[in-house]
Amino acid sequence: MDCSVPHTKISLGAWEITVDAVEQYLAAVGDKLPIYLASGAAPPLMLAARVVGRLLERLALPDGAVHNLQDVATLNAPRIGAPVSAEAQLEPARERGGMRFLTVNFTVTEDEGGLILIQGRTTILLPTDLRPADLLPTDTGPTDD
Amino acid sequence: MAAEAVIDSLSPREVGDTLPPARRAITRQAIDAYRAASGDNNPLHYDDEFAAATQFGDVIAHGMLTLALVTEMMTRAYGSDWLSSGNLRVRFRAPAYPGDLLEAAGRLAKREFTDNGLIVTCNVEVRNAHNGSRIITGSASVTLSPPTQGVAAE
Repeated sequence: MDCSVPHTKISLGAWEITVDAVEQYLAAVGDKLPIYLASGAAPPLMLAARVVGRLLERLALPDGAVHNLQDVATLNAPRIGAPVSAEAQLEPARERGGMRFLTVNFTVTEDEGGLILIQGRTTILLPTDLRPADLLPTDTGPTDD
Repeated sequence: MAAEAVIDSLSPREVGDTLPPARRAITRQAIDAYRAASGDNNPLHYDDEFAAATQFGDVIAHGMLTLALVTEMMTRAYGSDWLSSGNLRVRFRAPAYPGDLLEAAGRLAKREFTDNGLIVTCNVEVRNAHNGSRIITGSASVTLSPPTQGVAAE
């Protein structure tokens, strides 16, 4: 799969929203609100964080890539215990002011029933010497865990 | 407070209302913990030598780690409504370094009645409490359920 082609869909794998993962995320960000575990809903940003981490892996983004813009829209509350999967789609890279921007649209879906949980848009600032063709995935298949 | 408590008395609903702030110190331990939780292994966030050679000059926190302060603030304000219908749009304006103290703040800027309910939009930001610089700016909106149906964050 060649991710240098705009609009190419990229699988970001599948995983389960476990209680352990939610607790690990909440501890990492210092969020002590009890609502998540009490209501059974994971923080939507936790899913977006996972997507951004996987984008870095899958797109072989250069080490100097910098997160510039982030949109996250929650369509349905992510349910703790749900199996989910994520897919991303690249927009054509663009240059402005001597900088190169890469924008990726993504969706995280609950596997049972296909309910869309979140949709997002991540824009990353890249070193200017990087060509779009350099943005190749590090492997060709989804990374389930 | 029970998770089932109503949120109508807690949630900012009028233009000009301020959101309950959130605050956090950025530490190397927090950055490492976030790296483990998210899988974001950009060396900019842990490799001193690499980071020193970048425009930032030192290790910085993940943008999504600093953004979590905004979503904590929105969850505290709007509870289950935020978890099921929150919409966030932000720009990362400046890095946060270990040792920085960050504060998230927000103010309700717009109310819009729709077929789905009342949508409120807040201007949000994260500032460095030490020097006042803006780390994140943007907006966050949420569709509010009728006052007695929401679930409080705390």
